[in-house]
Amino acid sequence: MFQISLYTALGLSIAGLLFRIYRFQKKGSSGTLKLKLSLNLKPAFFNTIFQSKLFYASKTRWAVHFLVFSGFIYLVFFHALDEWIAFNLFQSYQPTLDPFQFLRDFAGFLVLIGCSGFLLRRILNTWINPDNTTNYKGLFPIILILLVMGSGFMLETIKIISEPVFLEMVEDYSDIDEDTDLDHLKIYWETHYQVRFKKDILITEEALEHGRRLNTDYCLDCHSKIKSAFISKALATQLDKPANFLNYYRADNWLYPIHYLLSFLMLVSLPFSRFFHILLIPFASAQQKMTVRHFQEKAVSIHPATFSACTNCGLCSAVCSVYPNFLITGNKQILPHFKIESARKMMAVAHLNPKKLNQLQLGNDDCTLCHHCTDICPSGIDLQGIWQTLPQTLHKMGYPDNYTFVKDTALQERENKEWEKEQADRAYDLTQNLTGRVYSFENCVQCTVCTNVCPVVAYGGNDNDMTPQQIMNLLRLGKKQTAAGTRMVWNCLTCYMCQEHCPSEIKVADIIIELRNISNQTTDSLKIMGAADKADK
Amino acid sequence: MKDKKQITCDITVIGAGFAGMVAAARASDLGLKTVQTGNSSHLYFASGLFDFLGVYPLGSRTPIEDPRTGLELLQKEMPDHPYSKTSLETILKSFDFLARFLHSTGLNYVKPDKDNRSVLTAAGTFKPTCMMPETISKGGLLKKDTPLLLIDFKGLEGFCAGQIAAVLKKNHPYIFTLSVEVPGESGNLNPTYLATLFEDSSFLKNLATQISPFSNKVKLVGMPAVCGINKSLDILTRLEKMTGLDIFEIPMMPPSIPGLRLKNAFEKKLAGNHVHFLSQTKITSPQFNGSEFILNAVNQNMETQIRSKGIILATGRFPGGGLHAKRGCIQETVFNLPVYQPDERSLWHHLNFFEKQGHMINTAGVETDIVFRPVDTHGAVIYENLYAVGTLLAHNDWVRLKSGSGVSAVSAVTAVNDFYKKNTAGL
Repeated sequence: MFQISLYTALGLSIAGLLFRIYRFQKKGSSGTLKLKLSLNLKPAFFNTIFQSKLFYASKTRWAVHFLVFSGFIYLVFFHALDEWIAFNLFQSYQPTLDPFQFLRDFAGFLVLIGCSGFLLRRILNTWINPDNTTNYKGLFPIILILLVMGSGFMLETIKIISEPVFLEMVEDYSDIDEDTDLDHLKIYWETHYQVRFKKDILITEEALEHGRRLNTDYCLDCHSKIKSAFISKALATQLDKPANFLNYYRADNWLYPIHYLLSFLMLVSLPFSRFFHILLIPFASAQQKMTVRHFQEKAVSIHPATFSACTNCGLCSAVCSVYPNFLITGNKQILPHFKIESARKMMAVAHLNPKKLNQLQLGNDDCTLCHHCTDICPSGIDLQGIWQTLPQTLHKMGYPDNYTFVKDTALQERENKEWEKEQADRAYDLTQNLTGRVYSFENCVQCTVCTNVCPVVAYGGNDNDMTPQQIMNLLRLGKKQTAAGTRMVWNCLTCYMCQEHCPSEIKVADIIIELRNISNQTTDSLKIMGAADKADK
Repeated sequence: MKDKKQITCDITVIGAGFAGMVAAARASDLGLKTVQTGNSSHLYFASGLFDFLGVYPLGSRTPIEDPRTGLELLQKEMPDHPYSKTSLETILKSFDFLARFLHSTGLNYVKPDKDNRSVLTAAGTFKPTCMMPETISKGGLLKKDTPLLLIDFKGLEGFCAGQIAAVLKKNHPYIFTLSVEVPGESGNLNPTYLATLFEDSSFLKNLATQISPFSNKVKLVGMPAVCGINKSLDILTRLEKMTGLDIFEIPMMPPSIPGLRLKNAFEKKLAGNHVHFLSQTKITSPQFNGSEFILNAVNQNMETQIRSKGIILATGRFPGGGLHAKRGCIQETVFNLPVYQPDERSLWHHLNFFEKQGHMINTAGVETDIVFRPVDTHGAVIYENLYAVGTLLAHNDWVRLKSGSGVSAVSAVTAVNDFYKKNTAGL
């Protein structure tokens, strides 16, 4: 049973791992993400073993995480794999001997504390930030760890109080065959090892002393005092009353498979859940090479696997320089930990909601490449590189930045569209609605003073299409959407020369900025509509 | 929340057009503490020519040669016209002052002599004027048989050498035209941008090599008035040296570079004279407390309270915002002064749009006494130290009489002089 499930779990886990690697490779070779591996051992080592980046990012989080990490590592090597490691390293190793008995409980205790910390943060975060879409993301691994720990402690407790287990051990490891001897050992174990026996046995000083001697002869080599297993001992005390019931039904035989099956579940889910970060963070940390030198040498590379190293801890968003933009626009896709999640999904699923993709483009457009998120990322993900390659990917999918879109769209396409009604209100929330009020541009006499002082017009080039005074004329002709779609509106430097010089006191620059706002809104709609059309075909 | 500031001064000039600039120039020249307010000036639209009196009587088809004779007649026949409140001597003195003032900024104007001069325009017609920039004045060399080269620039709108030549052909048989292509420019060419190109010597050399082949055929070259924004005379002289030809500028449609030069010259010199200029400001709720005016000059971010002894109102007419045509009547916008105007709206315009006598609304405006202080319907001065100058004045159809600059200059100078005389005696 144990062997079968172990090998099944191992097989599934390895197959899953291979599947993920295959997918990463495939994505890496196609698409815009360049597959280029590098190996930076130093950050990989320190970030894996000591979570150095998390330490710099947040001491509290590091402390909590390190509790889980250290406890877990100990349990894996000295408890789960004891047959291969502990028994070979220490000749006198026995799971029930101190210090191993104590350390096992202690490690479990650390993991429990850490996981509670994880849970607590999620609960607190839900209070602080009402948006909880990412808060519950990593919940499965935490609950699984808690279940494994819980079942482990319960198993140990049940074994402690179990009479049948005691009897089996006596059978196997001693040559006691007299009832009185057995009774005396029972007395000693009941008082010092908290085994609960069905029948009460009269305790006497003499019997206890004899039991102690028997214990020294047969048991002490492998059994330290139970008090060092401080959690299980405490639990055993609590289970005093249902002890007989549990012993009768051999609860230990039930709990053992539960415990190891849960552990195997962990193994199987390794490539498919948050657990994967255990393997991906060393990888991502080894990939990180975004120094100024690399930047200049254009050696920027993103491996798709690094996307999955993200644990959605949200530290990046806390330091994001354009966080205020999020507060104003409410676009979550400005924040790094949302962006990377969307980008990961975009890579995995061909069709994502056009609105969401557009939001992602807009959000990523706000990024100033300040490097804060990359600096703080505890997973060591090269976030900067992702933000830089993302626009190309989005452009290919039909979501270029608005300026490019305006340049590539014929003015005629903006006419005869019916978005204006729904778009209008939103755009005008942010503006004075100069373009909607005739008096703001009706005084234009087309004198071309604005055009004459405009540095964009003076620079010329093939890029510009209309001049400021022509834009005012479009407004006078009632062609607001056409005016909003001109390149001039987007090329404007907002130097205000036109407005300063206008003899008719028209707020030319203010109007142009307002038109750009309107254009921004309509361009979003055009993009989403265009992408939806493409998807239909 | 707007910033608030307070300033006190002797005199406030409201308006930054031609009249306002002359008033501020005169006031600062006399040493008065001057504040000027206004929006972007309409000087960008000005041709740069200063007219005295080009046509008289109204509707006459031939321009008058000597403005003095016209003035005598005007003063007799139109007692309400601003010129009738002043004298030939004062008008000439005002022009003199203006020429001196502009000369000190490096912008040379040819002073008025006895006769009006005819200046070639971009339409091929001639316009009578009195005073002009030196860069334009050489056009006077154009006689009937002078071989002339006309230059235009590809992409520059509103100026076509061929069109001018066609109009001139009747009286001037020897005309050549040249269309210059500006390197690297294929689309529309803005006059301001073109003028800045003239300040680049390699552009000038290139232009000279294109003109030189004509040096045997012609004596005179006419080109649009885009010969540099700053130091236009220097640039023109250099070009003349390179080509060995006399060159003159032809004023063109707005935006006008001679107008821009004038604007720059005024602004530069007035700043040097410590005139406090509040740009892009509107005057709101003016008050008079018995001894001084309290004005609020408001712009987008600032509110300035001006306490001023005197005020020169040079706000212009409808485009400038000095007058506002409501449904039933015309109003003066700052002080709500009484406005001379037709009795009802239907009389504002003549039925014939091209009526030679002009429209009634062209004579609407503020009526004043002989030192240009607004008066009420009974002819009484409204405020002791409030003056109205320039096109705001009533009975002044300056477009048809070709007398805009003259009226503006003389009214501005007279008003400031009067204020100065009255208020410095006690100082």
